Amino acid sequence: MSRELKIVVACGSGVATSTLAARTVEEVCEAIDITARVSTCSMRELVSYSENADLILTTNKYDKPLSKPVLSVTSFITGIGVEKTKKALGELLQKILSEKSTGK
Amino acid sequence: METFSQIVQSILNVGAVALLPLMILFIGLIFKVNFLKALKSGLMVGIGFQGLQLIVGFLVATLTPIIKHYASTGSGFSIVDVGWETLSAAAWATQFTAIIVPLGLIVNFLLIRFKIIKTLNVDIWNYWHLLRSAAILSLILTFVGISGAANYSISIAFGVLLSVFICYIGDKVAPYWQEYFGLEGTTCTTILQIVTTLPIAIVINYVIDKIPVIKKINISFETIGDKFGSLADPTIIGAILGAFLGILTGQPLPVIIKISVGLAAAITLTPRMVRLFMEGMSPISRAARDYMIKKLGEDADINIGVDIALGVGNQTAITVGAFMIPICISLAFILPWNKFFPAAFFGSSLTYAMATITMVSKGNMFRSILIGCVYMVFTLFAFNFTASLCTQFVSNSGVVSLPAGVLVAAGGMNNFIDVILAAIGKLF
Repeated sequence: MSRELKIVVACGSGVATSTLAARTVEEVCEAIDITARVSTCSMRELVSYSENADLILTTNKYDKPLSKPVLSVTSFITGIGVEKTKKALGELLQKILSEKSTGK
Repeated sequence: METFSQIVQSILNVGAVALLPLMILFIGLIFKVNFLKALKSGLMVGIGFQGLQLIVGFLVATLTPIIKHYASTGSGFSIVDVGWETLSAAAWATQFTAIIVPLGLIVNFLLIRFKIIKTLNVDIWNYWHLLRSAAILSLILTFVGISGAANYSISIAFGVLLSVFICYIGDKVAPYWQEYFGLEGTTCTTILQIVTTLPIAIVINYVIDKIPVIKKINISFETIGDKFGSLADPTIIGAILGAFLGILTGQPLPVIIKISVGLAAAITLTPRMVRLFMEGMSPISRAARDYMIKKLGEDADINIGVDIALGVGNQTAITVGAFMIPICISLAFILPWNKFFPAAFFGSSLTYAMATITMVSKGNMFRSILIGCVYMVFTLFAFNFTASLCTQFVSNSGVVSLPAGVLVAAGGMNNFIDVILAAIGKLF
């Protein structure tokens, strides 16, 4: 079972804010020693990107249900409440990883 | 002093490829990013810039048969859509970057300290809109005959003034932005949207409210579903538009295929290049943001100014954007004065505008499309009106060496500030 997680960070254009947030996501993964491939996409590409992802992160509030876990990481852009979101993200990553390794 | 200005001039002569990494390094050091990290950031921005140079050069080469066709007939679509990404790279490559960005941030900080405004614009990326307007003003001043230090000082002052203005507007927009998108403690400081798209949307929405019957029509996203959003894939649109333009200008089949695939490639690759640019910018942007928030205190009563992108999660905006594509193309044909054929514009410029518009129409798709039509007429007008200035701005930056006679425009120029500047320029 692969321990590498695929994380997609989405924003309006898939360029500006998602790239900014992706750096912080990579830091969180490093800090808790999880190997992850972090990619970025636009909101419009999100549905197709989500098929191959383990976790979806959005820089905004996405209002449509997806088949994969979704977490909003707006604070990685605004800089307010970063630690709280980092913690939530870390816990979510651990949870996904343990579910994966038990073969669910 | 003489030798110093000679050194500066010789660096300026190398152009953006040399200048950009140095400017980003400089801004990074101001906000206490460590030297190697700041250097890497600067290099990444430079690399993104070079990547963009390649793609825009390729885009212009791909569209050359079409440009030649229209040049020979002397009419039709002679303004090439190079995409907002190109303009942003050109803006960052101006000689104003190293001065306007730090100065704007410092002034912003002081204004909050003295409780004159509440908006902290941490969205450093979107300083490109201010840099672009400053560069456009500088071009106009040159026409008028003002050059040298006076030209620089006026343009820099204008850029900094705009950075203050956007924070002031950010304060005004904050309650509506927070209510509709649910992003507490933030506001939108993307000058393009809140100083142009937003006022257009508010006025048209107000007019619709006065029209009987029409004012009662409300189509929400829930009734339409998400079937159309994914139709608007930029790569597919690029391929279709390329083939369409090829057929329209009577190209032979192999050329049509080449243009179709080429345009799809350019539209798909441009954002990837800007992503490199942005990867370089991220550490600097974060350092500046965290530095200022730390100095102000996390509990300070401020609005964090963010990119309009944070509002684009809204599915209505994406779906309305898809509906707008055929409408935009029809308008490009119908309006007799129009020489701009939108292509890269459908990448994300349109979605951003529609996010702003749906915010005003409160998610009513019918209204959003009506407002979108008025917005598009203005946009096409602005692209035509400012095309020669925009072309000069892009060539000066060295993003792409344009063949003689080629005019370019792109998302970003469709704003009141640059249009007013262009109008003033035409008076002389």
